[in-house]
Amino acid sequence: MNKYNVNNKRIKIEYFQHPSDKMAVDAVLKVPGVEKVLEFISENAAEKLLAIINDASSLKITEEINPKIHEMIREAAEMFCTEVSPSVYLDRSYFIQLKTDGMANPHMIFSTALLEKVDDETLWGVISSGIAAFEAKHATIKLIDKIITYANGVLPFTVSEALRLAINNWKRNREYTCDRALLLALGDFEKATKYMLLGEAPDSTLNRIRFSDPTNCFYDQSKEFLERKNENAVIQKINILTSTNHPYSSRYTELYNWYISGEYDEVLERSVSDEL
Amino acid sequence: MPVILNGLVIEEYAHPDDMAAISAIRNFNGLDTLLSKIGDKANQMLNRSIALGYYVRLTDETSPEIFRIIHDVCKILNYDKIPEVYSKRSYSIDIEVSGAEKPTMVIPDALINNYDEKFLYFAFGRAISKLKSDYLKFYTIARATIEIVEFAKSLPDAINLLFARWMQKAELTADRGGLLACQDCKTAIRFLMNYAGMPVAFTENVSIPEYIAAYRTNDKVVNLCRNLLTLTNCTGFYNDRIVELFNWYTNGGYGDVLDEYMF
Repeated sequence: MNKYNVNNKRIKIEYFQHPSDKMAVDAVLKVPGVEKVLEFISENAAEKLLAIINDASSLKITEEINPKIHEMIREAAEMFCTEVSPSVYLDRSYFIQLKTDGMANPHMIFSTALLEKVDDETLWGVISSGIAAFEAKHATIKLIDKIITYANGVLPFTVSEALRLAINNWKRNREYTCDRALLLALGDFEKATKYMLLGEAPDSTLNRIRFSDPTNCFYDQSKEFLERKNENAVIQKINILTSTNHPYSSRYTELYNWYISGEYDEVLERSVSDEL
Repeated sequence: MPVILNGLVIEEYAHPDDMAAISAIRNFNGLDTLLSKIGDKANQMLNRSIALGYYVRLTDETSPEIFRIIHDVCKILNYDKIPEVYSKRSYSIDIEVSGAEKPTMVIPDALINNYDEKFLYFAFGRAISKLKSDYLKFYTIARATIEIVEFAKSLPDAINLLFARWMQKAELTADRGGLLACQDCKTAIRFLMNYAGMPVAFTENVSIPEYIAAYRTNDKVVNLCRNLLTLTNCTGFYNDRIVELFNWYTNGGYGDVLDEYMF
């Protein structure tokens, strides 16, 4: 009997991975041999260094220290049909976040603020979202990102900048996949959106907004942002291009549209029918 | 609620050094006109875009506790607009303001979550005071030239120094605005001590005169260094600001403004 994945859902990544995220990952993996090369680099170089850094600078959370987190990870992996079993670390940070990385040595790093601010149900959703990131092969592009960073100065400027913009674009779009995974795990649009904005506004403010209602004030704000025109729109686009995160207005709108389009319900239905 | 200062105008409490610095910018050939034209446009394009996209807009309905204080402070300081208010996750305690045409505040969550109402009156008072002044007309561009935009490096150093000096002195006026809003000198100084790094609980029993005495020095080299470092410091040294605000309070400047406008 599952404690967190109570409906015993089984959701394959291809059911919900955002098309722009999938396209970027597929484009990399379709190059013959590239996955093998990346796996080799991952196993023999990049992640060895990361593991040393994590072990030295973050607190490792073993099953004995926090069985709840490990149980959530196991159930999330089962839900998203993957066998990934990441190491878990805790890092002191004011930002509410869970970082995931690693092809050969998958690991998750929880920020202290995350563990302080969320209840168990939301934590389950966040961990599930992190597990989905592994299954969506996000670590592959993160590794390429690291290689480009290390190669800075070796590659011609225009090439490295073009690659950087492409990586930024993917980094932003992967958030859409993770937001969908969070929603699928929680099964509650209000809770998923509140987590997205957690800490950005006082809890009392977020609790007064009904995010699934299109007359809510954050919906209006997002609409105003996305409908900006002329030079405002140009500056906005340039600003986003250089960022590795989508604005909350974009993420909320994307998730809301997916939720009300019926695709969310379809994924849930498939997750049940596949099990049967 | 502190008393309303009917008809208060910023010239009554603006720090003389702020007035001098802003008039130096105005006297720089053509700069005033140029900044007036592009300052708010730049703000509309950049700051507003960031606020709409990345922060959460607060409203009377979703954040009545915060808006009650903002309404109070606007009344106290005789500011007739209600700014758009956003919040964001940040450990800073400084409210960002922008937009002369469409005034905007961005409040860090650490400020809302960790400070009592009396401190919020001071913090919002500082922000509203900036909105009341000429601050916004220049601020977006000043900040951009000093901190953000690459082309700033090609501007004459004199302009950057003018901006840095003015931004630093404008903080002194904002501190006075904060004090007029909260109307409690100890609260105002305690908040500034927080800026300097002292946890809020530690400020409760600090003697302000002793704190200031410990900061003051007759060492000429230390004073020279402080003055040199101040040249390019946009916020001013926090302890200098504490001294300035306390002097204004004890020398009667604060009391004079209150006496003139409280009825």
